[in-house]
Amino acid sequence: MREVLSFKKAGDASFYGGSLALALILFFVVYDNDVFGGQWVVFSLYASINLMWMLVIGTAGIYSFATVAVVGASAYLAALVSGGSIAGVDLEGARSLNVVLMLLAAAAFGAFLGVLIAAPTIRLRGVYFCLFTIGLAEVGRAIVKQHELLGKNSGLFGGARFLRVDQVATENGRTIQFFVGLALIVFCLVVYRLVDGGRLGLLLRTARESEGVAKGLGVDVVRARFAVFIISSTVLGLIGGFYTGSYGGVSLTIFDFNTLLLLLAMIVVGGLGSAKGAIIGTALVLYVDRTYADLDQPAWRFVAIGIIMYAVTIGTTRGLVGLPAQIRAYVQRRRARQVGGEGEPAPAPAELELPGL
Amino acid sequence: MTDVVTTINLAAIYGLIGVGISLTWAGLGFLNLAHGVTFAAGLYGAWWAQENISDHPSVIFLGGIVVGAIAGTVVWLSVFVPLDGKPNWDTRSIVASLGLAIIGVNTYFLVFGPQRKAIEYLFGTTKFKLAGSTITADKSGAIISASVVMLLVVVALVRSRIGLGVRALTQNPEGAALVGIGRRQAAFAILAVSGALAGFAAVLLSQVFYPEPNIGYLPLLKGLIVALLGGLGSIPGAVIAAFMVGATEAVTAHYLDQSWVLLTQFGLIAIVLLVRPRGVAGILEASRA
Amino acid sequence: MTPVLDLRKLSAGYGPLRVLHEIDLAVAGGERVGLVGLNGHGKTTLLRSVMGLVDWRRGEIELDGKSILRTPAHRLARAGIVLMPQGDALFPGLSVRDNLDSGAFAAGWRERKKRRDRVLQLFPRLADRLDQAAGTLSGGERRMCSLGRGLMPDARIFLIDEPSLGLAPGVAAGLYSTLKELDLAGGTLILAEQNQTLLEGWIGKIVRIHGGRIVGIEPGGAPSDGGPAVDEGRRTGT
Repeated sequence: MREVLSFKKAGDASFYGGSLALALILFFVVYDNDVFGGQWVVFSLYASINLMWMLVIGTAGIYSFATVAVVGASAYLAALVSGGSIAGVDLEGARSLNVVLMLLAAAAFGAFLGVLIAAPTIRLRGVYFCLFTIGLAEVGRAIVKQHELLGKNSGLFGGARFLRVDQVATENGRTIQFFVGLALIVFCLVVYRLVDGGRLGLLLRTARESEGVAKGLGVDVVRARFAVFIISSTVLGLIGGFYTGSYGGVSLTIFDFNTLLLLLAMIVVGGLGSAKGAIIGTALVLYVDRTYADLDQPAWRFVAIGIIMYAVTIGTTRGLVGLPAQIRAYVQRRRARQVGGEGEPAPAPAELELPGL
Repeated sequence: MTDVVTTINLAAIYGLIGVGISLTWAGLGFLNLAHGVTFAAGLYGAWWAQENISDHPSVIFLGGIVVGAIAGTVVWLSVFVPLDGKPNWDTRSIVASLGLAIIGVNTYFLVFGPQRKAIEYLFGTTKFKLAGSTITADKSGAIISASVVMLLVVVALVRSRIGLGVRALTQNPEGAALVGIGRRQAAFAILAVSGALAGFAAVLLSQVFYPEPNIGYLPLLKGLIVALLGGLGSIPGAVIAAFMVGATEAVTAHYLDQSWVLLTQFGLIAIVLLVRPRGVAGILEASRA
Repeated sequence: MTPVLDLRKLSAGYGPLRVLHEIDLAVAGGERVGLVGLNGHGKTTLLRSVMGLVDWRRGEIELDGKSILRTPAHRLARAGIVLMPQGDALFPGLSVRDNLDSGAFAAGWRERKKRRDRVLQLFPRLADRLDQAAGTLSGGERRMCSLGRGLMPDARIFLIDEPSLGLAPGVAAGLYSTLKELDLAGGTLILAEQNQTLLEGWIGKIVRIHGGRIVGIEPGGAPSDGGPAVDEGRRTGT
């Protein structure tokens, strides 16, 4: 366990250490204000979502787009069970849970949703599963719109929060929120590393590369995929709880298709298949998003994001995180081509039966 | 009876869009998420032609078809040409097309503004009665013209040299190169023609779908549903699937409510794919065996 | 006289892997050349290099004295070079007829039918299966279909990659007896084959390849201009 949790490469330690230092400096020194505090909440939520999403799409190769739906639904549940009600309406005898119980309830609901979604569909081929899960956010939105209990178009407010009313918009409050967000990210990193770096991750990667071979080796592919889906859904549920806890409520904007697109841009830019990619991608895209956020025309924001998405996809093989490896491969290829160069010698043919060579 | 007419109407139009997506996936190996933006381009093109050239129906149609084809060419230039043959093609092509779609939709916002535009009646305003219900000219005109075009596409695929080339490409890209089919040229044909088809479908739908920036989202979704339900790459499958999707939509809108339509269509896909993962094409194959 | 196909200092490979090392090979028009060597030593890569189907190449490849290094595979196909690859590269969902016809895109339908009939005479088994989907054929039939498709166009250079691979010995022998009788109309043949005995008596020149290099060129026991096969005793029914 210790080995799995330790940093894989020396570069990792400096990356995470450096990022943490950067975050601390930016938060407490450079931008000691509410606006940045708000950005941090958003960043921590998105980065955490993307870390879990990375497990599903990157490690397991399951093209699920149910992330937003699960987070949203869990946020709604969290608001509901912790005393939230439709804005402006007083619910007599509203239930009220404290924050910790709310988080647990949200996580449990996430797990439940995971089972609900995965059980009938886990055998579906990639593209079909993708389309199916995209529709789930629409379903969520439709359900919420119909029911007063769920806030309809106005949303739910008044749920349990990390901050007391008097702490909001104060320096103390910001500090608490910072560490809450940081704790969430670290937790998700740990989960990511445990799964991706452990046996389950290995099983999933072999199944992703070549399902037939994996099955032949005795890997229960369906069960492995089911497991990673449930694990990620549970944590996504927890993140939904963190969402409600940070804002004290939730509204329909959480099911916005634009949010899904934004998240997708983040993991694509970062590069599918690594925790670092999730963090870098989230930070970069969020930065661009916020830079263009205050313009009169919101359309420019999305044009910028679309351009980044397009440019990174055309220019890099596996996102920004994969750039060093890509450059290395290019150099190797050139070296092999050179006149008189040997390149990597083909393996001694007598021992190796390379098909088709 | 109105339901039947609506079904055929929708089926014909969704079929045009779905076939484009199906062929692009089967022939080139990429799911063209920019197809909705191509659809919207056709719609804007038709409107622009109406405003700046003439409001004669043939001009409007031509505007839609030509701009649709141009949009398809843009997709070819910006997604296929730079990425073809490069590593990680599957993921990158989809994401690049998505990036293109995002840029496209928001460019429409910036250039044309968020308001809808209006397109004139294309087939006149006559109505006629059939089996007790009134059928408007635009519905019957749409059905007839869409069906004719679909038929032309199918015939071209089965009988023409280019059609054989496209079909060969969908089955074995290397084999296609070995018999002289250029992948890049075939890709251009596929993308430009599906763009033209989408533009044509857009004009047919212009009485119901007005030119506005986000207008391509729903047609893209329907097109994807039709293509997947039909079994990617199968034209007969796509045609049958288009009818199934159109019927579901007509019936749901009539007996329940428009807002339930997507839900029932997803339900339809889920059921069919659970039984036959290859969609309608799988059903056809099974019955042939 | 200019060789019809001239490979000079040709190196080729995939990514960082270099498979061919500075190959020099000149083939004259009408020659029948056999490419012999163990698996993994570069036979397939050499044939694919000519067609431009490898990751990278260095050196020179000339067709009738003109470089074809920058010509993509499909243009070479139209220019008269035909590759019948390992794995057949058939169109599984298309009928046998469509598969054969796809080999002769450029021809009008009358000419196509004439050529198809000629191919069916060579491979009568296919005639019974004309409307069958190519994906449902047996291994031997698929090989016949792939070779048949290669014989459809008006080609001058035929590159055949291990036609016996994966076939039962009897089937392979039958296939080869058909190949031996082929009238290539003065065309050039390069045939890659691991089993040298199958080439005896009808191949003019044997080129040995080992470790991505040519290690020997020897006469093959048949007139190198592709005259009739010397060996009558090896005929076996298809």
